[in-house]
Amino acid sequence: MKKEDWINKVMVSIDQLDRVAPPADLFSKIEARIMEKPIKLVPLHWVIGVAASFLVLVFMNISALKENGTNSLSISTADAFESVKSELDPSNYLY
Amino acid sequence: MGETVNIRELYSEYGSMVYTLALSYLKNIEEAEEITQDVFLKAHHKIDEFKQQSSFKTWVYRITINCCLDHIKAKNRDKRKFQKNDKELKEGMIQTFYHPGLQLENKELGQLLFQEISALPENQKTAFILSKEKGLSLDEISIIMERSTSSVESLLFRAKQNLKERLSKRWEEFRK
Repeated sequence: MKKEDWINKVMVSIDQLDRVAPPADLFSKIEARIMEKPIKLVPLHWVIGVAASFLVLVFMNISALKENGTNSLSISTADAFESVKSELDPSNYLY
Repeated sequence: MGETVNIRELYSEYGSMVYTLALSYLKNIEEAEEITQDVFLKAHHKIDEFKQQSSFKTWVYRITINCCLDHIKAKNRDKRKFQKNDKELKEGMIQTFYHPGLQLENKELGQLLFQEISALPENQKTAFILSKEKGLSLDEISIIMERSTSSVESLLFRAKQNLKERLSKRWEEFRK
C-alpha cells in the first residue's frame, strides 16, 4: 500500500463511528444527583463583609477604650465598692 | 422539543451522543460516564436559561465540549504533581483505548488516529472530532465552538495537516 493511501485510510477510519449507548444505570445516577440537596455556599463577598464589619467594630471598641480608658480605669477598687454599697437598699436585706 | 422538555426526554434523545463524544474526547470509559452525568446535571440546572436561538442539539454539544475541556484542565492541574508517572499512564491508556463505537474493520486504524488526535491543540482537536460527528454541519460546529465558519474551516485544515504529518511519521512503523 502507498503511504498516501494509508494516511487517507487512517484519516477516514473514524468516519463511521457508531453511537455508543451509555451504561443502563447512568440515568438513575444522574437522577440521584439531581435529587441531592445542593450545598448552599455562603458567597465570598458576604464572608468578607461580615469579617470587615467585625474588624471595624473591634477597632471602634479599642479606640473608645483608649480614649476613655484612663478615667474609667483610674477608679480604685475601694471607690467602686463604696459606690455599689451606697446604691444598695438596706430594705432588701433578708436578715 | 418545545418548552415541555424534561431531563429524561433530553437524555433519551442525546444520551448516546454525549457519551460517544465524551469517549472520543477523553478516551476513557469512566471519565466519559462522569462527563455524561455532569452534562445532564448542568443541562437540568440551566434549562431555564436555554434560549431558542440555537437548537437543543448544539446547546447540548456545547455543554459537552465545555465539560470535557474543564475536565482536561482539572486533570492537567493535578498532573503537575505527578507529572512523569501521569504522562506515562496517560500515554499507556490512550494507546490501549479502543473506542467502542469503532467498526471492527477500522479498529486498528481508528485507534491510531485517536492517538494522534490526542496530541492536537484543543481547538483543532474539538473541530476535528466534531467534524466526524454524524449529521453535524459546519454551521452547527461554528455555533457549538462559538467561532465563525471560516475560523472553523481554518482549524479543520490545520488539524488535518497536523494529523497527516504525524501519520506520515507513523508510516514506517506500520510498514514493519
